[in-house]
Amino acid sequence: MMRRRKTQGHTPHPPRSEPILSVKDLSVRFNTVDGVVHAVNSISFDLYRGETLGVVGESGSGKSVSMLSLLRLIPEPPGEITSGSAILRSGDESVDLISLSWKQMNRVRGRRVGFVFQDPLSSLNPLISVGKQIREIIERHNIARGSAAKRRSVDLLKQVGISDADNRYHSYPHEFSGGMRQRVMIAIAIACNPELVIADEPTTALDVTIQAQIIDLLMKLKREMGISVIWISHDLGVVAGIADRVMVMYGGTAVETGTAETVYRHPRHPYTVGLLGAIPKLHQDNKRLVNIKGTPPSVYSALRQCPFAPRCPWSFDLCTQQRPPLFALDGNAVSDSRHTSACWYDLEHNTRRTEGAV
Amino acid sequence: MSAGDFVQVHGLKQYFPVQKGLLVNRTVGYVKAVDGVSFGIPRGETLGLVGESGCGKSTTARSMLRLHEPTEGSVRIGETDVTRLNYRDLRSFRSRMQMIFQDSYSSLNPRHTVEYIVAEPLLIRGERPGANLQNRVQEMLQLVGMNPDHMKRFPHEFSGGQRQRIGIARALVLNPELIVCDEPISALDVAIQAQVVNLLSRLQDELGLTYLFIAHDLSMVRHISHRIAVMYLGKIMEIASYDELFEQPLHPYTQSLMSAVPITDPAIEKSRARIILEGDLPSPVQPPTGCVFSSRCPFATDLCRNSEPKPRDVGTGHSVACHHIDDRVVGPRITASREQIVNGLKDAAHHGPDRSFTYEPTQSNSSARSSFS
Repeated sequence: MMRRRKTQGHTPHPPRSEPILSVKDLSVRFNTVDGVVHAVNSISFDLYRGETLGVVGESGSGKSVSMLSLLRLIPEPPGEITSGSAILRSGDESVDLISLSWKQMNRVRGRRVGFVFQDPLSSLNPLISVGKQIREIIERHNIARGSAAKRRSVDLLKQVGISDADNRYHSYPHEFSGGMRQRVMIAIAIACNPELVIADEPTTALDVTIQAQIIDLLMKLKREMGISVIWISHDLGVVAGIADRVMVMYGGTAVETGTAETVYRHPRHPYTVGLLGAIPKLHQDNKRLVNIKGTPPSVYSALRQCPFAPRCPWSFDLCTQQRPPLFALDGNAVSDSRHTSACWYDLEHNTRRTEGAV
Repeated sequence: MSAGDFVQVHGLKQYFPVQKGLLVNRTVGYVKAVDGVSFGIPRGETLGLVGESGCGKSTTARSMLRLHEPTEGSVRIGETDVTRLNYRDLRSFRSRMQMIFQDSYSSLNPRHTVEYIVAEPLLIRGERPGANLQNRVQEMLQLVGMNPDHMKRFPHEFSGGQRQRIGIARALVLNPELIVCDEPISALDVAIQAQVVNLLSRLQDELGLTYLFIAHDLSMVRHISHRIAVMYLGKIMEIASYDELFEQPLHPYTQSLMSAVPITDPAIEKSRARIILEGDLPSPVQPPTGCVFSSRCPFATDLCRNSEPKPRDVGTGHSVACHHIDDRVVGPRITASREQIVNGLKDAAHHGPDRSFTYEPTQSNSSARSSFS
C-alpha cells in the first residue's frame, strides 16, 4: 500500500541519560596460520535507549566481527578480544559483556540482546519446526513454559506478520521464503523483550521489495517495544532510512561517527566522501561514478598509519606516519551528539591537522 | 523493438517441466520461467533487465544464448536467427555472443591460471598456443585494467572486483558483439561496483559492444543502460529509455521497485512516499490469473484478475503492460503515486554530500587528486 514510513528519529533527540551500551577501546584479533589478523582496532561508541545505530562499511571492515564479539560469538580461539570493555546498562544494573563468564553470557544472549543474522537459512535449524525454535528461547530464558510458551510463540509469529500463524507454527524453515524466514529470525530475536537487537545485514540476501518489508517490520517493532537497534549494513542507502546515528568503519577502525543527517550531508572523512560518491542516484546525470581506486587494506599488519591513506586523494606525509585519532568536529554537528572523524586532513576547513584529538 | 535492432527477441518462452513419480516420470505442470518476452537492442546500446530473483531474467539471457533450448520464440542477433542454428553453426556463432557471470568464484576454474582462463576461448576456437596467444591475453588484461604480469596467478589470489575483471577479459577475448552481463556486480561492494560499471561503459564506448545487463535493483542499471526492461514472473511489465522510465514510471510494479531503492539521504529516505508490496513473488508454476502482478498490486481490480493486459506502446518506445494506467477511476491514483515517488527521488538528487572526490582540495598534491576524479 501507498504509505510513508513513520518518521522515527526526527523527534528532537530525547534527553540523554546514560547510554544502555558503552563500548570502549574494543580490539579483536584472529591468530591464524597466515599471521595475526587485526580485525578490529580499538573502536568506541555509545548507544542510547530507543536509538538506532547504523554501522556501515565494506566487507572486511570489521563491522560484523566487532558486533559479534560483543556477545562473544566469534570463535575463541582463533579469535581473541585483546582489549576493551562493553558495558550493558539497564536501570542500576550494569555488566561488562567482555568479562562475563560463559554462563552469565548465556543469560544475556537472546534475553537482553537479540541477534538477527544475515542468512536465515543457515541460522535456523532445518530439522526443527519454526514454532519450536521460537518456543525454545522462551523456555530457555524462563519467560513461559508449556502451552503458555506455545501461545506466546504463535503471538510472536503474528506480530512479525506471518499469516495463519497457528498452522505455520508447525512448518519447517524450508517451507518458508527468504523474507518469511527472516521474519522468524526477528521473532526469535524479540521473543524475550530484549533491550537491544543487533541486526547483522538482515536484508542483504533479500530482494529490494522484500527488503522494504523487513525494514518496515523491524522499525515498527522497535518503536512499539522501545528497543535499541544496532544495524550493520554495507548499504549506505538502507542505513540512511533507519539510523539515528551512523558509524562508518574502514580497516577495522571507526573512521567517522555522527548523526545520520550530519554524516550523509556533511561527510568529513575521505572514505565516507568516496563511498557516498560511489552510490548511484536515480535522478542524477553524471554517468560516471566516483572510483575509489585500489582495494581495502591488508589486515595482517598492526595499524600504524591511517588505513585509508593509500587510496585517499587528500593524504599527505603525516597520514602514513601516524594513525589519526578521532577528531571532534564542531560546525555542523547537532549539539548533543558529536560528529567525529579520524582524519589528519580537516575537510571542514581544508587544512592539515596536527593536533586537537579528542 | 524496431526492425533495425541488432538483437531482436520475439515471443521468447522457456518452460521447464515439473515431474513427479518414482519410476515413471509424469509431467504434472510447467514452470513458466519466461513467458512470451519480446524486446530489441540497437547496436552499441545497453538494455538493462531488472526484476526480483525468480522473475526469469537470467533464464531469458540463457535462453537467448541457447544455454537452455527455448520452448518457443525467436532470437535474432544481427542477421542470424539463433534459435534455428544447428549445433555446429551455433558453436562457431557463440564467439559473437559472450556472457559475464555473477559469481566469479564459481565461474573461474580455481585450478587454472588467469592466462589459461582468458586464453581458453581462443584455444577452443582452434588457435595454437604460443607467443601470439600470450600477447593477446596480456592485451586483454591491460584492457580491463589489470596488471598483465599477474597472468600466471590463480583466481583465489585476486579480490572479487579483480576476478570479475578476469571474467570480463575472458568474455572479450573473442571480439564478441553482444555481451550478456548476468548480475556482474551484485556480489561486489559498492565502491567496487562503481569500478566495474565504469569499466563496462568504457569498454562499450571503445569497442562498440552491445550489452544485455541484468540486475535486481534499478540504481546501478541506470548508470549503464540506454533502455530498461522491468520483468515480473516471466513477463515484461514495462520497457522504456532510462530517462523516460525514471521520469514516468507508469507500471505500479516499476513504481514499487523505484520506491524500494534506498536513497542516501536520511531526511528524504525517512519521509518519502513508497509502495511496500505485500507478500512474496507467486509461484511460477501457478501464476495468478489475468495480470501476473495482480496478487500484489495495490491498484488491482477485477479486470486485472480476469484478463491479462497486453503490452501497449504509449509513445517514444515506451511500452507498458497494465490495464489501468489511463482509465478514469484507478488511473489518477496510479499517476498520483508516480508523482510522489518521482518527486522524492528528484529531491534526493539535489541534496548530496557537501564534499566529493572531484572537490578541489586546497592543499592536496594535484597528481593524486587528478587520478581520483
